[in-house]
Amino acid sequence: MPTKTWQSGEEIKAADVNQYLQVQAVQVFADAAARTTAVPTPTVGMTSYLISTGALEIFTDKTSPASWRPPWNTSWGLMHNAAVADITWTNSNQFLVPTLPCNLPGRYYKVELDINIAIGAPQAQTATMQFMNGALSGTFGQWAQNQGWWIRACLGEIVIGQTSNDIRIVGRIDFAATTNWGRVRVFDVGPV
Amino acid sequence: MPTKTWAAGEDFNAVDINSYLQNQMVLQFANTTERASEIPNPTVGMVSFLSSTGGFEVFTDKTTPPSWKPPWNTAWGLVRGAMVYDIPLTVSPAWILTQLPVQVAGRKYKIEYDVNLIAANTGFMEIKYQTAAGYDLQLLVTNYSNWPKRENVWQCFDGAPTNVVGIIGAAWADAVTAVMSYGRVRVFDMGPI
Repeated sequence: MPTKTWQSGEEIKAADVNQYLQVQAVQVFADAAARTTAVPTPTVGMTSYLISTGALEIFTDKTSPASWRPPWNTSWGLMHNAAVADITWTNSNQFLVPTLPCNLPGRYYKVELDINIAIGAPQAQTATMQFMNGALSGTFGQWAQNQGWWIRACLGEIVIGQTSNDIRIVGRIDFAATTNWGRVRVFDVGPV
Repeated sequence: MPTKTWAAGEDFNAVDINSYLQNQMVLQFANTTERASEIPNPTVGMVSFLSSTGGFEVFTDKTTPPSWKPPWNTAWGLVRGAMVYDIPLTVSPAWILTQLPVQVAGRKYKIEYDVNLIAANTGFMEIKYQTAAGYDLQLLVTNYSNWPKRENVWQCFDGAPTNVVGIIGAAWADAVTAVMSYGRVRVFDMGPI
């Protein structure tokens, strides 16, 4: 369904309007519900604009099932932004954040975790944070500091989207520590 | 090629469809080959969708020469994401990364370099962005011997074809050597300048 060059005097047929013009126009709808009503069976490549959200979306088969999405070849931005609950760290791995949303195949995600760690007793210690995807994997960060001193630890990683992903971050310390002001962010940063 | 308001009873000419309607649609093609075949001479502002990649592209003169690109006013996202080889840092500055991809003029890039550093002796360690003009951003950190610390060294650059951007590192004074591990580099296209 690409292009057609009309000749002077040529008849414009309904099929031409339907296939070449309307289907390739940017169709404007009040919201997603109005779009579903007007276009119950969209075809790949259809483009729409939703007044309710200001969203330019394309019907793509890069998802399964096919769905309306922002342009596949752009970065879709912030997906998840949350405070991290304060916990007391021990010398065993503990989950710092629940499963993070990195599950759409074909997309790259960037995960960022920033957190204050207060080193507890009895001495200077090393704090460790690591990504998990089922098993421990990916970036591993370590910070050593004196007892009673603070660290602001920042750990980031790129994750390839998979439906089966179970991305979490764990932390541990030699003896004891507490955390506060933790923040976790997940960004969609474009197509794989 | 802007808009036209047709009057009742006015002829609907082939040139109207070709110029006002079709050229301003989101033209759908299987891939870039088909697009090049169908539109050998695109004009600025044409919009296309490629089913092979799901790519939504606009023919823009913001590049030289003009080319099909994602919408210029959006962030294009991750350009490079890679692990970084571990190297020892010494008093002789060494390249950690070279030739980072920040070359499209008119685009803003963000480079993120994260690494665990462990000094062999108490002293200071240095990481800096290096450009043709000199160093652009410098991280200096001190730490005790064998105390690890993960550093985040991030910087934004304006894209230019002549950009030569790399990252170098060294360990000074009593640090003598420092060990790097779990290095990661990420380059993002953040949008237009």
